[in-house]
Amino acid sequence: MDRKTPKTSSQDKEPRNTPTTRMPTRQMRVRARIVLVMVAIVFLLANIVKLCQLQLVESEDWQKRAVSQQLSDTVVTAKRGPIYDANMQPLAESADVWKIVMSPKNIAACDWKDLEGVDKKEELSDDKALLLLRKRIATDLAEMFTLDYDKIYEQTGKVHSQYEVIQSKVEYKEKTAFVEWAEKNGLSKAFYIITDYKRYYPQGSLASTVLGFTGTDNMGLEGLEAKYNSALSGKPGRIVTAQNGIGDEMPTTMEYTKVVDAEDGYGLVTTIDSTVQMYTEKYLAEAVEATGTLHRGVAIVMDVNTGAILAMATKGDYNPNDPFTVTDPTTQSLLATLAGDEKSEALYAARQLQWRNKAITDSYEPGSVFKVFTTAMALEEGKASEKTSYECTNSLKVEGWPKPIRCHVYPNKHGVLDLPEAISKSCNPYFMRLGLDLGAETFFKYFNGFGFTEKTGVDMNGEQNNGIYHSLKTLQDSQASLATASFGQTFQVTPLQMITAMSAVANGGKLMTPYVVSKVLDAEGNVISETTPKMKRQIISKETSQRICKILGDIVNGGGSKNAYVAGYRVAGKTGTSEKRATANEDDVIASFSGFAPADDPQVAVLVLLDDPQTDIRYGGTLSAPVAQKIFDSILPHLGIEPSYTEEELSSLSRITPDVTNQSPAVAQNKIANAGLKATIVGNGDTVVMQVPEAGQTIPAGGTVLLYTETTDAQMVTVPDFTGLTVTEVNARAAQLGLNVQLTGLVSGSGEAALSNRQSVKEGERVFKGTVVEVNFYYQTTSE
Amino acid sequence: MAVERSASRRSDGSDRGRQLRRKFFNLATGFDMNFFVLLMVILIIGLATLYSASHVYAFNYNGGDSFFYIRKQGLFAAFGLVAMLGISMVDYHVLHRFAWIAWLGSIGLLVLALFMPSETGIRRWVQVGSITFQPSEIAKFALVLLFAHLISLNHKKMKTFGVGFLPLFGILIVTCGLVVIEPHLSGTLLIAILGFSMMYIGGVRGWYLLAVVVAGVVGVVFMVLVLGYEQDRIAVWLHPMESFANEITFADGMSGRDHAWQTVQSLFAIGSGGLLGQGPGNSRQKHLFLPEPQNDFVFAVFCEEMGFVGAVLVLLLFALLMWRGFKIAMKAPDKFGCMLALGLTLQIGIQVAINVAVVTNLFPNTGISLPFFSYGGTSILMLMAQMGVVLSVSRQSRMEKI
Repeated sequence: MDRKTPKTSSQDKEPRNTPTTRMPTRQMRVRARIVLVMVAIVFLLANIVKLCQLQLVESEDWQKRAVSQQLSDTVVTAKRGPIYDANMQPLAESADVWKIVMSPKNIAACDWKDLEGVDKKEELSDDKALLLLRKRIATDLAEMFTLDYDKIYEQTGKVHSQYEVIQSKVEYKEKTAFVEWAEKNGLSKAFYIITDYKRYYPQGSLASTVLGFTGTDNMGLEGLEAKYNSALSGKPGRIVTAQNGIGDEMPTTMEYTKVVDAEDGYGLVTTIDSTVQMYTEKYLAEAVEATGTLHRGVAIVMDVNTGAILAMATKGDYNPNDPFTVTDPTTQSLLATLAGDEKSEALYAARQLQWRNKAITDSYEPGSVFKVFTTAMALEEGKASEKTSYECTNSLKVEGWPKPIRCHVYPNKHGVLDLPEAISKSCNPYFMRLGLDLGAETFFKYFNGFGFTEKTGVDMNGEQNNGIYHSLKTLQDSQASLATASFGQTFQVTPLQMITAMSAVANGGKLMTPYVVSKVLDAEGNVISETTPKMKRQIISKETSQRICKILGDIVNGGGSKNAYVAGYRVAGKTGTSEKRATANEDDVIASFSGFAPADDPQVAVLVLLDDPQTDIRYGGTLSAPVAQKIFDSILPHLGIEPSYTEEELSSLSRITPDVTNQSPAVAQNKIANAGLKATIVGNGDTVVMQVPEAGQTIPAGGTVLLYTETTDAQMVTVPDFTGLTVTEVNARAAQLGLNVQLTGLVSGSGEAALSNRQSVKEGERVFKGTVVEVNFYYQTTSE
Repeated sequence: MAVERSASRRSDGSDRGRQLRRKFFNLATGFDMNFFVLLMVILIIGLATLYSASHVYAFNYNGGDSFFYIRKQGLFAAFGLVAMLGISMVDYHVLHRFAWIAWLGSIGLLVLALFMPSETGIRRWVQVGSITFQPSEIAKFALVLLFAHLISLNHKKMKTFGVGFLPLFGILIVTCGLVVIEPHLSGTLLIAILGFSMMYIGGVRGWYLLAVVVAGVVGVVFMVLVLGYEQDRIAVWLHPMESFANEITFADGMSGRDHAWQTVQSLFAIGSGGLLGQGPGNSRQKHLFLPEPQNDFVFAVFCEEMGFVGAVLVLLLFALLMWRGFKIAMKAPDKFGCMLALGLTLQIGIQVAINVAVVTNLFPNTGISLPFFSYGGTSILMLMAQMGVVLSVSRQSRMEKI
């Protein structure tokens, strides 16, 4: 080719004389323009249109999407508020625990080290080292938290994820160990530790069916925890921070942190008194166990004037710290024999059952306890007075019922009775007569008025009103229905309905709305809201109320409910033993007692109910009244209700033995006498070296304290069998042996019918003379 | 005129000053200041963008060295600037001699690339010592040079099939063939468009080209629709968000999220820019969301920081550069210079257009860099050298140069 390279510095503007020196042709210029325009239009213009779309039209959408990945939004759990009892004793609290979250996305970026089996990171390709690292993490974590290795290993592989929960509710010790592990292995960047809370119940199963419990997500599942969930749970906060593509924080210039503080939940102050609750549960549980009660027992203690629930117990119940464990041993052993679906179904049912607050969810036929209300109606309406007498002829023929309806003493009869006697002996025909005299309209008006047709409106979860009662029309149409309802059969009420109505009888006729939460407090303890006792309606007059209180008080202090007798307090109440019509077995009963104290100025109502006890004698008076008696006995002093003893009671009041050891016999004898006790000196020593009973023991007034001046000749006696005896027999036998006897169950010598059934020191044991033996008595009730 | 003003201001300068003035600021002998200044503006914006886009990535993945990419790029850009000024002073006609050698050399390198070890199966690079470069960068220039050479040489016979069409088409097919099997789709596309444009401008019969282009398009459509090539890439292109949300299954078993990651992160960045952008340096997407923000997707970071206004401004700067290059070509003293300047200018324009189209997902993600912006030492060096050739042509173009 003959080409000549021109000099670069040429100033010659003329084309050179070579094959390539000719100017671009016109065609080239035209075509070049076409290409240029095409490139401009097809590409540059199209790109600008596309940019318009992305940056102007859709900008917000894209930005939103981008921001959602650029911000890490962490939820901060709010601390769940505590639940207190009436004296600010915590019943439920939240403690700090931690949630451990892994960010698999950050694992590769970690400055990890000390990889077992790998000397240096450089020796392996990153992929292989990462694989080993993942295995190591999975192994360590699985061991640390007892988790499934495969699951964690899989989690470590989710490289786009920044939030894989490893373990929730990690306690302080475990958390510390974990942090050490993460730091040691240089893996801190791949994990978050989030503060969380764990619910715990410091008093264990106390009031469990009232309190309920929370699930793993801190949501209230049962009881107050569920009812007041929104108040208790507070508002979760958020921490929003800018993060980069691997989940790290953005540099300071880009820093963006928005913190919305969590608002801790409100606290609840309940009307539950831990002490009252504790006694109530203790005695109820003892009774449920002793009587082999099949379908659990209920006890409620209510402030009659306000409707405040001081205690509410269902036994068996559960421990809210571990609500999923079935507590009933029979059910446990049954579950152990099952497998598969059958087992999970049974387990589900068993859990549901033990969580159920029987006091508000289950209804029962109140039986004779209801006679209190029939009495109230009759007195209020003037259809009867204390003097109204009626002859019980062992049954009553009621229109619309084929056979005469029998009295519970059938084939015996009560004969002529007045009203207090009829209540005391719980005569069915008397009350049938009373009910029929009242008439359907009046009966239903009061039945309705006492709240038996509606929910009580208690601030608890799951209150039921099953509606098993006679409508006004049924009562009008059926004399039999009216008659049977008058003595508490053929309809059902819940225990809470019953005690609320009983409180109305006691408090001067005011039906209160029961409640269990008295105050809601914020996190600083300021009162957010306070419950004021709410009266629903006045059902009976104050006067009628007082008349019934007197009648019922007299029964307990000498009538059918005398097993509820408490020295120093006049207790009023009524027992009931009702047939369980829902069950096939006619012998199945509900033994209940409902009463209040003091009878002359009612303050506290107690209801005790045993659903299907398995003892031979199943009367409410035999089984439930003693429970109520023990509850009253324990809680009335605690609640600051002053006892007022009768003279008889005062003389038989128990004494506390003073400490007279190391004192001269004369001084000691004097001290013992001052305490209202007798002293017998044994030996000829100068000082008392031992006393029996010891100091601080409770013995009846007039009991004998043996003061030994020499230890050598301690007098021993063998404890006899004290059971099956009357009070007189027990006292005689004890005096003969020189033992002190402390009578429990009842104290006043109000009848030979009371028999001893338990003694605190076993028969045949050798004890010092003067030792105190507690002997428990019960009345062999024959009523109902 | 500006020329007279500058001449009068420097009338008392030394000999060397006069020499420099003649080289750079003389109507007849200087190069086109407009083109040069535009280029410098683009280069500076490009380097600034590269630093902004790359420093986070570099800090995290290059041992805490935020300046890793910008240092290398700056160094190569400086070499490139020297090379450009040097080349601009050499008469471009000298390139006639190297036309065939350069092309054959580039073909040799393309073949060599196919034999380089590769972990991914993609063989686009040749490594010599510590330097790695893409032979396709050289092939682009070699093709432009060879076409300019042949067109200027055979100008009169360009309409013929045997001399005008066939040899050029053959050269193009060989070049594209080697690039496509690397595989490097966007590189192939770029070279093909460039080659056809030059053939068309050079005078090859329009319908020859039309026939080939139609055949090519039909072939590609056939491969995609019937033979099912590149389905995954097309799925991401058509349904980026659905892919990102793993709502689409991919043939290779990788998750849709992984497939669409880069494209979607780019869209997040561009969209976040809005009208005026987040401000210089304020991209969030460069904080390890957008993978390798220093490479092909650097423009997404620019769009996020500078907004629609900035993006359009840069596109207009490139358009102006093209317009100026076109002007230089039109006023070139001969067909060789004309074709050379046109080809090199077009190469920049087409590459910018395809890159922006990929970044905005107007076109499937095929891997193409943005001239003067994307990181790549040899790439910037080549680009600057090529611009030196355009400037060299401009020295002889009969036009206003200031």
